[in-house]
Amino acid sequence: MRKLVIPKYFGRPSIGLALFGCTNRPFYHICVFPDRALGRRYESNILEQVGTFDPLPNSKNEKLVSLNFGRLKYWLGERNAHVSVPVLELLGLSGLFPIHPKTFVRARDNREVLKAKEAAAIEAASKKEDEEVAPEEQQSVAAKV
Amino acid sequence: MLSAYQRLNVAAATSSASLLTSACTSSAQQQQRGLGRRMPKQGKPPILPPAKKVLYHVVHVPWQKPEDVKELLWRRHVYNNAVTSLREVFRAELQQNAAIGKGIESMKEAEEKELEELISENERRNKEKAAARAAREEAASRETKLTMLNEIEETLLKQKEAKRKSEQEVQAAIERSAHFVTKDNLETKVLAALENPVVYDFAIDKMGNKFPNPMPVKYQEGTPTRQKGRLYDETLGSKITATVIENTAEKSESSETERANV
Amino acid sequence: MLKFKPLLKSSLGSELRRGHSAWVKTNTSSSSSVDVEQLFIDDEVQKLLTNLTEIDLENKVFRARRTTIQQRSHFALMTEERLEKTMERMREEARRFLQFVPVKEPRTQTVKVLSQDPDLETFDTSKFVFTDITFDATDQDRTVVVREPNGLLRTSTPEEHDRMNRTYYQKPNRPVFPPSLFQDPFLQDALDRNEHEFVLDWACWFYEPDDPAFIELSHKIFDRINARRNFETITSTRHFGPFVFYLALNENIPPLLNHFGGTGRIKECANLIRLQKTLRPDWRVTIAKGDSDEKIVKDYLKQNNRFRDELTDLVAFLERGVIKSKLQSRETRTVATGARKQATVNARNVRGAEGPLGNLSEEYAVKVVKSEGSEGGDFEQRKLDKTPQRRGRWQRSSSKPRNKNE
Repeated sequence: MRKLVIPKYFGRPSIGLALFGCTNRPFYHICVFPDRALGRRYESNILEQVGTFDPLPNSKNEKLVSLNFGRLKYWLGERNAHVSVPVLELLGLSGLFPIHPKTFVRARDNREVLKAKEAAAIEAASKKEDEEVAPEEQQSVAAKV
Repeated sequence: MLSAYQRLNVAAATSSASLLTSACTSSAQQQQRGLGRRMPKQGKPPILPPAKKVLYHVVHVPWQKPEDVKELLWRRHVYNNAVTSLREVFRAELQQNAAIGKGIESMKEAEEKELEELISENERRNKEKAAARAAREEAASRETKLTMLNEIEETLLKQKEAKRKSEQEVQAAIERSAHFVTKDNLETKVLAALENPVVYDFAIDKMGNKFPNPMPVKYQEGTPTRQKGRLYDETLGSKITATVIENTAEKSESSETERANV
Repeated sequence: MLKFKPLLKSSLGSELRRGHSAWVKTNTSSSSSVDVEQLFIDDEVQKLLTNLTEIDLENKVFRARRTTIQQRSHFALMTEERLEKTMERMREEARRFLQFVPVKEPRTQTVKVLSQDPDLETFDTSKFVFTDITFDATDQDRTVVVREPNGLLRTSTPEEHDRMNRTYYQKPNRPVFPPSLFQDPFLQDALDRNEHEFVLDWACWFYEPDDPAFIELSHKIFDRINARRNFETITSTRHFGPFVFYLALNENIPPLLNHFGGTGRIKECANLIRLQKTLRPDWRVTIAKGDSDEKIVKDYLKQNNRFRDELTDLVAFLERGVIKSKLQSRETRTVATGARKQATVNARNVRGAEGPLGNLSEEYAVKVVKSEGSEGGDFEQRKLDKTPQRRGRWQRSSSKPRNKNE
């Protein structure tokens, strides 16, 4: 049953990313949505935009995030807003919140992948050296014979 | 659509303006209701059950690594605690800001106050300017009044002068009217005029000498000559005028006789 | 409600960087422990700088410029008195236009590390820049922090801070990245075209006055002006004050002194010397209170005999009263203005570079066929358009011979 409420003042708002980009160009607005209990139908009733997030790094290899900290504090403190995980990660990186656990996990995964790649590269290099060295040895052996 | 058009035609045939308008409105309503054929919506008709592929589709979330789970357990615990306390901190901060006059409300108030101040300042300046303008306009109007009064005075003076002059003229005319010719004194005047003829047919030189030609006579005897001879041969003002006239007359007579002889 | 907040940062910063100023170059001999900002806003110095900046209404301040606002020139018939009043008002306005660009120390390049987390290393391949877009934050006190890929959270450098300001608070003609005009081949191009004022104006709009890049750029331009001796380009602009201040602070005034001396402006020379002696007080060479302008200049010449070969014009003026460069400058000015004003086309200049073809006349021969003489008698009788030429870039297209008989 649908309730007759004003989404702006009802329940616990949630903060999340709203995709505002176009084809092949993601761009997010960090928005405050109405209570999730109202259903997805009300997701389009964005209460407030509190920031932006540009996930494509620019020419200086920076991902730009803008946050309206004053309003965020209001929504988090006064209205006890629910925050989605990607936004929590961004907030953690910005230093407003502690770092989100998933960031740590991802960092470690990335490190492991990098390590594996490095190891593979080193192995490949050593193999190549072996192959280069081996025919020389054969040649030297042949010369001795 | 077609029926509406027919009805329109019918309405036009009856040639009643009110009918025409009513027909128009009814056709518009029909179009709004959308009675025409429309394409069905895309997708599954809502009456059918979900497809088997959808119904029996199970999402297999990949398992997390056990060490991740172990780590996440305590990290999440710490994190959630921190977030809860941070929310408290933010709330306290906002309340404190509001208390010491830094919050949104106080900002609004300050803004309103500023606006009020600006408006009052603006009004003050407007008043100042209005006062200055009033003073300026008053001075200007006084000056205009003065000039207008001056002009009026001047015109009055002029009119007075004109009146005086015309009065004088009238007086003079009345004085002169004593000598006017009327029916009563017509005879005497005529007689007097005949007795004292005034002739203006004379030439005058710089000295004021008058040279009448021909000499005026009191009573004209006989018929006056039609042509007084060749006047242009005379030099007015010279003593010999009369003789010259005589000579020429003789000459002309002689020439005429000669011509007659020839 | 962007209220101006007092900046505590600047006062703190000035104390920190008291050791060395960016405005004082190291090659000068004197000690560099001066507070440049305080010196610049000193009343005495400001008065001297204002006196040194001449107000050239017609050729500089209110000269024709290219702007986006379309305006027609306004003509009015005035009485002498009213003309005088209008000129005075324009001078007042020009004084407002010529307010100096502030001389400030560059913001510190050092960043503060806010947190260091080794567990976060390689969480992402690129940096994250977080900008505070809170409503009541000003451009100066906006918080910008950077999370490096190795997990380091730090405050931003001035360059990043201003770039974020430019990104999130756009203004016309202020792109996010500095335009290439501020880099060298293009900068040198612009300076060769004597567009110093344009470059400096844009830099002033683009950068904050305490941006290290701005200070570096303005120093570069000032140095080049001083090296080329083309002071005409910057006189009577709002950058002349800082320029003179920079020169006097670095005890580098002889070229400018020579320029003033060449035009016979002894008062400006004296003011310049006074300025240098205020900025670099030296108890051995001070100015007595009742000294006349000429005496100050002569004393300076006596004290600085090493600059004598740089100050030939000034010496010539002092000894023989020769105003040499005035004639030159007047010539150059007439040439500069005369290039814009075009005479009408007549029989003498049709074939030359002043004719309708302009520079193309060297490549193409101009052929004039008279219409009345009917020498050719064919259909291609052409007559030169004798209307006065328009100015600027339209002159070429409009003044081409038009085929009137068609």
